[in-house]
Amino acid sequence: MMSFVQKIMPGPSCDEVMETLQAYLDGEIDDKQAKKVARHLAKCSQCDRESQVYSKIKESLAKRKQPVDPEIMAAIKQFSQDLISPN
Amino acid sequence: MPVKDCVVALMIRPEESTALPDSSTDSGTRPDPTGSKAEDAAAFQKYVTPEFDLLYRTAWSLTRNNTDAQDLVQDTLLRAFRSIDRFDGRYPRAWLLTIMRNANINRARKKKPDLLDDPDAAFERSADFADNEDPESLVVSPVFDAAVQQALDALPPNFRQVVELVDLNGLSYQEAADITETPVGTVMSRLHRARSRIREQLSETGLDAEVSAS
Repeated sequence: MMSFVQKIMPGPSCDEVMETLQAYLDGEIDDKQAKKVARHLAKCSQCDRESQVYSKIKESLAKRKQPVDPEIMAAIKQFSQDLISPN
Repeated sequence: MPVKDCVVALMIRPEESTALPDSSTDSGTRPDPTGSKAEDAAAFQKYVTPEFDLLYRTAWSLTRNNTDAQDLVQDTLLRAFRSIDRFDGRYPRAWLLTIMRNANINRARKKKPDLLDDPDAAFERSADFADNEDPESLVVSPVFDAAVQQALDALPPNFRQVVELVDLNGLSYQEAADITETPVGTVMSRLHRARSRIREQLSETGLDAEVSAS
């Protein structure tokens, strides 16, 4: 059944937006598609809420990125240096 | 692993000498792909050195072990150095990830039985980063982040791996597909399902409501 949003707003349906939401948030869809999704999110509070939740999840996951252990990085750099300057 | 030991063990694959057509990174083309040793060293510094961090993180996602990750990076660097005279300077990240993928395949063949196929063992090893976590990095919503962490740890290894590659390491779908030897569609599917599971867990604890209210 067509939702209220679909009736008043042409463009992708909520289901279609949900299918492409992850790729949209990852910047993996083209500009034309991204604009359609953005327009939908601007007018559909339900999809916008999902988008916010997933954005927050992505932010939280990105925070888990730890600095590489300095000793390991130093060893990698030394290995690299030995490769290009073997003496 | 010392350089000389790696050299003895190394066999360069032909495909490592070519640039790949599809990558998000393009640092320009190398004017003379058949240069001197000095030029090779310069090219290595230009194209490979900036990717050390990414290479190590990706290696860790593949091996889930500091020692193995370091060995895999060094193997990758050695292969890259040995074939850099044939690298044309286009898409260095994709080129390096292809080398790492091949090096990892080679390592997996040698290492049997492969503990990476054991989900329980992989789960145990996944605690390495969490143990070193800096509490100060969790500043916005510790409860939300803790729930995400818990949900991430509960994911099957294949799902968690793609989340780490894309969300933590910043790889594109194509790059994640290449390094894991899976179709892009599989990467997308795993990522979608992984995040959906995390989202479901947040919903069960009511934390998703916190997001929309903030």
